[in-house]
Amino acid sequence: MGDARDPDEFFDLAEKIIQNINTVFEKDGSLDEFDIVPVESQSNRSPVIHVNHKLALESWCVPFLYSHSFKCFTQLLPNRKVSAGNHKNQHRNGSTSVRNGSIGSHEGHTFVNSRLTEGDRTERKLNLSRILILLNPDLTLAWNYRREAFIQCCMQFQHELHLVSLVASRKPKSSEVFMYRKWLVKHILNEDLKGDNIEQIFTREMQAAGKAAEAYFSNYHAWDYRRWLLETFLGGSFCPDEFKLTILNSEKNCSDNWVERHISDHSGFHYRQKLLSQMSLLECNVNGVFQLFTKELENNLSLVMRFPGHEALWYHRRFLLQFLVPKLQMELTENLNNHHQPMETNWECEVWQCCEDKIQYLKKKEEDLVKSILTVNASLVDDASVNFITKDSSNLSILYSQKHAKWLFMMFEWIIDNN
Amino acid sequence: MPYLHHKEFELAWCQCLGSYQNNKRADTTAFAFGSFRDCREDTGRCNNNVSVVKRECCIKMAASLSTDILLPDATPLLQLPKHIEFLAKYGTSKEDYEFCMTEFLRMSGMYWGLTALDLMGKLDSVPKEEVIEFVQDCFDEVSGGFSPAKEHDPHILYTLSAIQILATYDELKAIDTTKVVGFVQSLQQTDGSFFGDKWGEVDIRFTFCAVATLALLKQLDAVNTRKATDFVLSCQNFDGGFGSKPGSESHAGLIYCAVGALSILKEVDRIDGDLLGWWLCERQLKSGGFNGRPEKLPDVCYSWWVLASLSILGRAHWIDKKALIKFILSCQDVSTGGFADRPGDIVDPFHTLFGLGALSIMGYDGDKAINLKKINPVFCMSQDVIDRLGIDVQLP
Repeated sequence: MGDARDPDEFFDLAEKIIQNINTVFEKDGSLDEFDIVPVESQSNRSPVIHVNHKLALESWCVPFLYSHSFKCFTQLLPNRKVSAGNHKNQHRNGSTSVRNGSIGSHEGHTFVNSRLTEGDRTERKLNLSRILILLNPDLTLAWNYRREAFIQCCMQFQHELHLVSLVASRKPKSSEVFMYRKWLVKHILNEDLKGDNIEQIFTREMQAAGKAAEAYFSNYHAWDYRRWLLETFLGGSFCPDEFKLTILNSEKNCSDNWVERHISDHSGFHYRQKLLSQMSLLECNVNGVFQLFTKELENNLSLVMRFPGHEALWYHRRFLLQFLVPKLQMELTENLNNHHQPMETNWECEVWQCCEDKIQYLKKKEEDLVKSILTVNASLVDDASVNFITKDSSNLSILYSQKHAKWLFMMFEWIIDNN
Repeated sequence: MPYLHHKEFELAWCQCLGSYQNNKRADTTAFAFGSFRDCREDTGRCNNNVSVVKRECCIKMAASLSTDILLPDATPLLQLPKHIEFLAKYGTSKEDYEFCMTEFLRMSGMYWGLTALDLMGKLDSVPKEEVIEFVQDCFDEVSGGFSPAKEHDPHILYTLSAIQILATYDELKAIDTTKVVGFVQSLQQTDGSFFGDKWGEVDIRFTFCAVATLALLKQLDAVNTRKATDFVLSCQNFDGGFGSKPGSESHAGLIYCAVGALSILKEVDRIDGDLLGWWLCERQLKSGGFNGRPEKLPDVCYSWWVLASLSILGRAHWIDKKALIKFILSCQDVSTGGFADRPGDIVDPFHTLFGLGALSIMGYDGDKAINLKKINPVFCMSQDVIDRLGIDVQLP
């Protein structure tokens, strides 16, 4: 902001930039990226760059554009903040003087604002709040205004989602972005919807969450939004049953694909755990759950061996065991409790034996895993010809497998030799 | 220089791949990654060899992109006078662009700075009347909540910060607290959860803010505490941790909110302290710092979230204290004062409070000239304020 420019010039320039941005939005309904590009000194051309459905602003204009937009915007909001006994309120005196003073002055803005009709005011507030959330997605005030305007039907659902995606293209981990998205979708789901609309909304929202997850590692809000969508659609009466099955299958495919490429993303694994829990509900007995989860344990084993030293993989393994083992143990005790007398039929013995065998099978698998990691890595750590990166990941592998052994003891009292 | 064996190279590549996903911070990364990808393609073609230059590039990259950081060799002493200077000066140039962009959280920013000053016994380095007037100006008489700054909307996050500031100054009489109680009440839902404001987002953070606000006002009974407890417990995951709502991923900051709320509600016994304590301790990395979730980088603020939670659970002694102190001290900027998330990054009041807070929990006493006051692990305020108000929470 350290610019020695004439304040009038600042004002006009900011208004001109706002006009340029509005024009871009009017002309191009398919903007897919927004960013601020670092350009320190201004040239004679406009700082608004619009190329190939991408919108960018040169960084030199951002400080004064932001503060100008903010001041104009708050000027237009209803006068909510009259503190008790303290009616300072100096910037709403409806001054008619034209644009005097520094950037800190509100009077110029009041002048511009006072000329507007009610419809114009709404449009201007929407345009200004759009600039504000693009520049500063954390500004709750601007999002809240858009919520109010949405309720009053001032804008379209699809356009609004599109704008949110544009904000997310620059700040994929912003919590406000996903809060607002969820708010919009909740709103629209409350209305009467037809089948294809539901599928369309679901697919588009999943894509938006996926894009943000791809853009920022372990993106908490993006994954949590995806989880919310999954649970809302699977649990909602508005969603037809056949589509629920499609959802589970397509999400499973997506997650399979994701996990292969993002072995360190704990959030992605957390989502997968929710997905697996949902899928386990479709299995009619413990055998089906056992098969689903042992297959996942196999996949996890292969990743743990291929990518040494990744904590997220081990945490996922903990989840799988903690889900499966108690289920088997419960089945076992239920069978025992149901039979106060010794089990007589072969069938009863088989069920009991089967659960016991499964638990022993899982325990043996964990033993083998811990042992093989310790053996493979111990030789690597001692080998003088091995480079330090390999040693580093070997050391981590040893650490995580030892922790795993301790964890198995803490959870299930399985004793595994980890030396 | 010996060539990398193909198998080693595969391992290095895997390590880098994982690390790359973790950390896209530096712009140079993209460049390095590009070169590295060429390098991998080379291995496909030449089987056992890669060029020395490219090999070096890959090793450097792996080192710079790991899930932990390397601390500088020398650890600075605790620079309390510098931190006082940094906080007292913070935000005095109000036209500053950064200051303008962070207005949406000003109330919390003031709470961080003032509490940090109070811990150092220097609350008087900021003009009290101006602060109280600011807090009063942010009070929304209609809803009974506080906004982060004058033109903004009221929210439970800033309501707690405002009440914390007033409590610290012993000035709760400066506002109509019955209205604040009404605001908190209005946000509770039938499942016990709390909205953050009228727009209806639910988060365990809001539960913490709600019960902490009421506890400071000694009006905890104004809401359904049994249901509030049930909601907190419903956010717990298989790993013992808590997420932002039922079914959300475990996160150290949200665990603090859960454990803190349960401490205020005197229901800490309803969680398995061993399981949760285990998960929290696993957040400590080789550098001594804590991350908030698996495979994330360490950050000073997690020193507070994790250590305060462990302290409420009576398991603060489970961590490597010496290593954590070293990490926190390394995050100071010795020339400007203040703490950053990691060594060498830009300092701010948020990380300064949580760095000092964690040091206070550990009873660190590096500078004999000024002592750090004891901090309350639940409210993140000086213990003497909590004692003066006579507030009782569940601690071991």
